[in-house]
Amino acid sequence: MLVLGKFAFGGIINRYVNIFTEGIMTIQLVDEIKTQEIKEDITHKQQTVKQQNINPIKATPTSEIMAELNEAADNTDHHAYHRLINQIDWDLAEADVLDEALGVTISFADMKQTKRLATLGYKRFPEHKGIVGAWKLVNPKPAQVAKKREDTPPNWFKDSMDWLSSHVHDYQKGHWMAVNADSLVTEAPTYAELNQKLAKLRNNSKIDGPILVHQVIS
Amino acid sequence: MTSNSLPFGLDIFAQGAIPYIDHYPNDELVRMVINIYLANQLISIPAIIDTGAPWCVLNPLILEDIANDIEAIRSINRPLNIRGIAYTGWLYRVPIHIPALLGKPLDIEATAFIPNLSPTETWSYPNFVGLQGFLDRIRFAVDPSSNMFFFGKLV
Repeated sequence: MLVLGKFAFGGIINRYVNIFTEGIMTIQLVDEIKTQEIKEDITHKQQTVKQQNINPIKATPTSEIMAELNEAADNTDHHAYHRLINQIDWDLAEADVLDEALGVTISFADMKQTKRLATLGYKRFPEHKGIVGAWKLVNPKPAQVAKKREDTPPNWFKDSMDWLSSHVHDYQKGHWMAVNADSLVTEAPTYAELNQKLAKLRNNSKIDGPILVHQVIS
Repeated sequence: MTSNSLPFGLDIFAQGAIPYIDHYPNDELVRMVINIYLANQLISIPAIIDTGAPWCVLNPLILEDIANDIEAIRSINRPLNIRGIAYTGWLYRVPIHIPALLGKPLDIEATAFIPNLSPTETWSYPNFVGLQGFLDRIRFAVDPSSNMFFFGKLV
């Protein structure tokens, strides 16, 4: 009986251990299933978002939406601007609407969107002045290595700027000066007069070296 | 390597270098100022390097002088804030020449904002070379230990 009892008791223990173990395994299994479901859900959502980004549902550039875009620009509302500029299907926009939108992207100095709209607009409306202007804005000639214009000593610019800093207070706001290192070449109350004086000095071969021109700003 | 060449290694990144000054006459703030030439002018002007400026902003009177060498490309109808004052105006293509003390100079087709001024209005701001339309068209680097501004073509 004792043996049987022991066996029975052991059996009962085993049974509960098994149930317990099975329970743990079940919990683990449930956790795994749930994790897998969550992963699949995330993957599905990511794919949906990706698909939406590839083929987003875009808005037609109606006058109401354009009014909203212009309002965003007038209020410098970056959040509204970014939402609208990406929401609108610019392939549906006529030339003047595109031009209007380019005015907005340029006001935000958003060159990425300006380039996108200008490129799209230039293909469709290559004669539209505003669109062509925007296209030129985002398609400059590449920078080129150039020939040297004149030789300047290493400290020339510093010496010129130091002279200006020391002497600007001697002149009224708006006055123009032409300097060469630590010396004044000429000065005049207007830029036109300064240019005339410089031309005269050049004609008389009295300019020797580079010239830095500055207007007193305050 | 000649004495006016770029330091070894830097010539991979840049073509030229020019000293910059840390102040603009009559301006209290610490700046980076270089001299530039506009179009084919024989005079240079000081200009503040400003990554915060959306465009180059140059003295309209000087730009009037080179009107034949610049091209109006787009009007700005929404005012641009320049030191607290709003200006409408035009964006222009302006050729800018960066001279070089070391290496070779660079010619850039820059974009500059020219404000609409009333007949009685005077311009009283420094010249700026900004991010859009100038700095974004070149490679550039700064060495504060030698006050040198390095520049080069984009690759």
